[in-house]
Amino acid sequence: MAEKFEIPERLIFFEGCTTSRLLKEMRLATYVILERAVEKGIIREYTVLPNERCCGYASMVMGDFENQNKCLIFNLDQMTRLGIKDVFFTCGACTHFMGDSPEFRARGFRPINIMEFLYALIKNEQFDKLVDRKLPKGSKITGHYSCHLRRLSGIKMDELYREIANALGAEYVEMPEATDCCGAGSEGKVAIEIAKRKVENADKADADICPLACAGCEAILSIVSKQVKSKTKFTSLSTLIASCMTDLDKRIEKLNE
Amino acid sequence: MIAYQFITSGIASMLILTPLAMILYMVLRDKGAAVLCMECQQCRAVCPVIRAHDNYAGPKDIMVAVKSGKYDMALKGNAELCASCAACMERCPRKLGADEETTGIVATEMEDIFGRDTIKYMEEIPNPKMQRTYEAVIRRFEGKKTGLPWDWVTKSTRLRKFYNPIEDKPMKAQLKTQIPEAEMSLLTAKANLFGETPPEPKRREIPAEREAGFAKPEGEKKCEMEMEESKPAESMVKENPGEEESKPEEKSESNEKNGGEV
Repeated sequence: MAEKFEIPERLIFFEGCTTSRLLKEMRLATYVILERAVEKGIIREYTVLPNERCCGYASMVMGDFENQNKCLIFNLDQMTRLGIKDVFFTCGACTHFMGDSPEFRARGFRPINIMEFLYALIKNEQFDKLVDRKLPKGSKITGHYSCHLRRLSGIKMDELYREIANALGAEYVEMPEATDCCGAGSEGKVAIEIAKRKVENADKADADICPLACAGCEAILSIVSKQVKSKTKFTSLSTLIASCMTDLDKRIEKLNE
Repeated sequence: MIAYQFITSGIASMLILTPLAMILYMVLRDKGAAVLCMECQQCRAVCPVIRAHDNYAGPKDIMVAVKSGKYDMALKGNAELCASCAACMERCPRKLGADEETTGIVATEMEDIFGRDTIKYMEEIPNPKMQRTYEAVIRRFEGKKTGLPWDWVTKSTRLRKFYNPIEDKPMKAQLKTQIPEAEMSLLTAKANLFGETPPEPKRREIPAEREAGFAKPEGEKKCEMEMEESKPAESMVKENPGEEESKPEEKSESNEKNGGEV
């Protein structure tokens, strides 16, 4: 973890299939954050892959390891050409399946999830440059510890959630069974049943917001929480941070130019 | 003498043990880590899918199925429902994960249909004819009760939307087309978080890339503009019925002008 306190100078933003095609709000929010980070001098520049392909998770789920590797190599070749070593992810599955693959590490790339990025900003006292205001007084944040990030990539989610909640001026409350799966990896009704349990747990913790660092979790939990009419709002971390910018609409206009 | 005996016994043991090790490797290779499972059932306690679905076999039973080589048994137990959350791996005293074994089962069962080439399969499916063929194949398999679940059809359709091996388009260029949709939801989310009033929906110009499919000649656009301008005039017309006759003439004139321009 210690090496991840450093804020990378140049970033490659690997969008991932779920972020770029399903979660358009989250995608836009992430671009707003990165643009602001460049403007405020937190990072020097960021770029995206010219032709991005799936990280390989979709093929792996189907048991097609050969094509998983093909996708990975296709993406890595482009990254090598760009010459930037830090890769920024907003999805837990991409962070693990691409970021922890031996080929990725062997080429000298370093994965950085949005949560780790924000944590690094807090530790380097740069976080206040990114947000204009804090959350309303008395708001409570709870955390869902994504399976791919916590169990498989070994990120200490509870510590990061606490730091981010403090930085946003909110209280951190841990939900019961916070490490349980959200159900996104499963199918159909089973996935929804698992997600409902997660939403109930967030409600038990009496939390207002549950920011998520994984696109898969965001995709299922945001829908199920609306279905159940949960008190807790399940949003992506990107959306939460972008919401704390007072001039958000102007920044979106700027992106649209 | 002792050294000679030591060397010869070493060589002899190598000659015997190496083929034995190779045979053992060949036998256990496909079974992977499953052979190490000691069936302590710790994994069942943490599996989220078992809680949600009564007919799910669970990580331990999947491991047993892989060990015994009976993949059908695992599929009957809905092994494909595994959420790949690795909760079983974390709890396991030997750090074995059922998700890897499930993937192995799926790979073996799907090999006959896709030949393990998902990219080729994904490329072919967008063709409606291939879609029908694929469905027919699946139905045939299901009729024979191979244990292939229907859920795979939905799952692969879902994956097809995500997985985009053919269309290599620059990602950032697609952002602009998404902004009109994403902007409102992002601003509404912001307003909801801070208890502000949500913004009114904006009317944006349609991006050129999206408009390309529905492009109209310039003349028609001008005509529409004139129609909008003439709306307040209509209300005036009702008040002054004498001017009613002049309105259609104006319209026809403007159409002629536009037609000439096009």
